[in-house]
Amino acid sequence: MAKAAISTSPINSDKYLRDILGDLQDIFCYTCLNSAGLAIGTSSKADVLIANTTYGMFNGVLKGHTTDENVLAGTVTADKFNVFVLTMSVAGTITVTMGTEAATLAAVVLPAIPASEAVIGFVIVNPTGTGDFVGGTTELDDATVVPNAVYVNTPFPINWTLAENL
Amino acid sequence: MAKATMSTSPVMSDATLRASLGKIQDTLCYQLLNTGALAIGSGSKKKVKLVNTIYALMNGALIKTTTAEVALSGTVVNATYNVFVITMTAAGTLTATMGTAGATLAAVVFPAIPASSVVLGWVEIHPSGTGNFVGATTDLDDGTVVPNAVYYNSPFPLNWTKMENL
Repeated sequence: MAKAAISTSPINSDKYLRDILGDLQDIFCYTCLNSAGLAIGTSSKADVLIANTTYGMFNGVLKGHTTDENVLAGTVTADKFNVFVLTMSVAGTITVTMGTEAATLAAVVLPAIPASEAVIGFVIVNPTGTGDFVGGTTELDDATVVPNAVYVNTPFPINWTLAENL
Repeated sequence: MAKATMSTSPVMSDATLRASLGKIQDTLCYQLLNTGALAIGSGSKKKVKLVNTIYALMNGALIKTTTAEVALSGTVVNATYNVFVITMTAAGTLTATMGTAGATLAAVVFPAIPASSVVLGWVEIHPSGTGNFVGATTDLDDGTVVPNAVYYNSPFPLNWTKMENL
């Protein structure tokens, strides 16, 4: 969604500004540090592979996550666009969250990023063949559904949930 | 240019802080997500080529642009340094903006980044042969002018126009 404008209300401005600074602080204190090399799964082509050992900085704690494969959940209707965002917690747990699909890529609504997690990247899915893309079932290179999967890695500070809602 | 010092005046401080936070918010809400792999053009060696399909987050919207070549405009005098910064709008329009030349690379003044655009990267030019580098006329690998073109990609939050002027 589009960013919310910074309030111009003078009421509670000091607390308001402190909250904003806290959100900005979180964006920089929870960040992925290197490319995860997201790709189609090798054990299961329905999963997303984290090809590289991936490191994140979590409020001063450095945490690594070794290669693994992650299940997608949710359906992308044929001819629509959507994203599956991968985030990591300080425990090294990977969470996959689907956005809200749309007729164009630009109209996709990115999902909320879980609190205190770092975005490691996302997969764009746009099924242009026959049928819907069903997460956990359809292979990411399925010849019938044709998901047109694109893998984007984000090894830098990024948190649209916080940045768009200061 | 160097960053402007943050105001220490207590007068209108609240409004100043809010405006500054808005600029930081914009820097984080308009960012390139993957490298464009900028290079010399293949259709025209006078242009800068965007080799990769790129994705950018622009105020909540995912914007995609496929490979393209961008024309340069402006002259870099022999033996000086300058940059042509490549930016993209939410409509996917690419623009090259020349900086202000300097006798050294460090003395180059980067151009203002157009509003609501993301920086894809830039090409550094330093003609060390014979004659000036003339945008749209001189090949980026011209054997006589010897532009010494260097290509930079910036897939991370980057907006010096806003951040240097909080």
